[in-house]
Amino acid sequence: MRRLGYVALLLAGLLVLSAGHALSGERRLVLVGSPELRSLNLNAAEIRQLFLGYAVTKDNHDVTAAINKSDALLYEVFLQKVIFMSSQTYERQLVAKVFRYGGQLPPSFARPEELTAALNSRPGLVTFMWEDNMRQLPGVTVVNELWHGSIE
Amino acid sequence: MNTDSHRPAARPDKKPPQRFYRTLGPALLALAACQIAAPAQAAGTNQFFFFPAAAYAWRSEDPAGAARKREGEIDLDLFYTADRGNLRFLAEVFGKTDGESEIEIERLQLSWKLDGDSRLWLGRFHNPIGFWNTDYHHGAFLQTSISRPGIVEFEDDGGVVPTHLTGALIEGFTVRRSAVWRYDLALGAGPELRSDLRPLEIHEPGEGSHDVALTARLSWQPGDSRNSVGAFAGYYKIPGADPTPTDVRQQLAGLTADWQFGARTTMRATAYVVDNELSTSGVATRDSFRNGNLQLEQALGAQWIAYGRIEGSRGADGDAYLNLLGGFVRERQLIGLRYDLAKNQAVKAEISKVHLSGERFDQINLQWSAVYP
Repeated sequence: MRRLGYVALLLAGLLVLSAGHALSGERRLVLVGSPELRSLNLNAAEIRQLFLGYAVTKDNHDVTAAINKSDALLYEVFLQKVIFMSSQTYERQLVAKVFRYGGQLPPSFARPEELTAALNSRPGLVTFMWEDNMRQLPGVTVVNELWHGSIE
Repeated sequence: MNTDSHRPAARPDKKPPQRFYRTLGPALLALAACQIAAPAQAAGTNQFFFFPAAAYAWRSEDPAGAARKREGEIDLDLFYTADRGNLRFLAEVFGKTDGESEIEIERLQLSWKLDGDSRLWLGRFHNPIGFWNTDYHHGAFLQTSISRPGIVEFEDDGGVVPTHLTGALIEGFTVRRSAVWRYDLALGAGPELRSDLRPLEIHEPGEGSHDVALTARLSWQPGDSRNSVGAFAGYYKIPGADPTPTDVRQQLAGLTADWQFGARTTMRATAYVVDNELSTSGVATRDSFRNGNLQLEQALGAQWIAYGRIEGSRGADGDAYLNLLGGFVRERQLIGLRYDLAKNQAVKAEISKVHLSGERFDQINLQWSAVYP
């Protein structure tokens, strides 16, 4: 009976901790892609190149990025914590890159199901999303952590 | 957008009007080729942009060496690119009207993707002498300011270094130890010297005399930042034509920096050393000058950017090469304001003090620019 009490206490403690965690708004922004990209250890410079519209070749993978616009807050955090630009400046940079080197603008998705379909059908395609949203998606894995912290 | 240019008003060998019509045909053909390739758009392998702009310039004086005192201009820059496997095609056609009409095939390039992240391009391209000439060329919406530094002004607007080459270009980048190294190596045909520099027109390959041009550039971008620094060097043999044939061997070298301080402040700076060896009727002269520019940009909220730029030269007064060309901006101080009306439209205003050869005047520039789609 005493053992059961300890377990109950431990569970209650975990519940309180996880509730506190959720209340503080702590979230993880992750780079996701197909499972073959799981071991692809992209560094910050490579991730930045990807989201500025360049293709990056690493470990025999041609990696390209898609812009996830399915969640306004997610996009804003991505701009502030990963790209360090306002949306206007960022979108101007993307056009400037195509103007300079040719190629295409990164594909942009406003609907999660279209984004998931693209990640499953285009080899080497990566994007960013909240880790807790990613867990619900089939055939998608975390490639890198981009940022974690509280959202005020 | 060259309402900012200061080319001489009276030019004995100014481009004849029929040149417009001679360029119009190939330009329309280039655009038709883009349309033929349009099915690729559905597959997401091509991209089309057009950049319209309207500008107005007012000058405090009407100096003999400058353009008109008041000047309006409407520009349209059409850009198209498409990928087919490892092949990439890029075309840019620029047209403007400022009392006269002009249309030009700015770029026409075809590339093959080499290993990794590099490409070999063939065709007419922008000479990689610093970011002003490659990242900000036509396409007025993309650059923060209205004007561009005098040292990289376009050849037909009083430019003194080659801004367009025709030949081969290798460009690419590599990531080493969390830093991005970008490289460009260009070898091709440079401009001809008349009363201004005349780059090779790709639709008139036999016209004029063009000799070897070589440019190399390397830049370094640390970590995950927007910052970059770079160096470049070029060598150009520029054959002279009428009125007094003067052949020029030009060597230039420069340093460039694009640096962000915090989230809102950006500094862009470039320094050049230009050495010219002139040969007129067998008599050789050698002269050199230095030029630098520094632009600071301060974001004021999401839609406003205030900016200022200083440009200066040493050794430019009396320089034998610069004396052959009119309208080079030796010094300039300007302040300006950019307001983004929407994600694809901006209005800008600039006030500047300009120093040409022996002439100084104030100037106000206004511009609306956009990108579609």
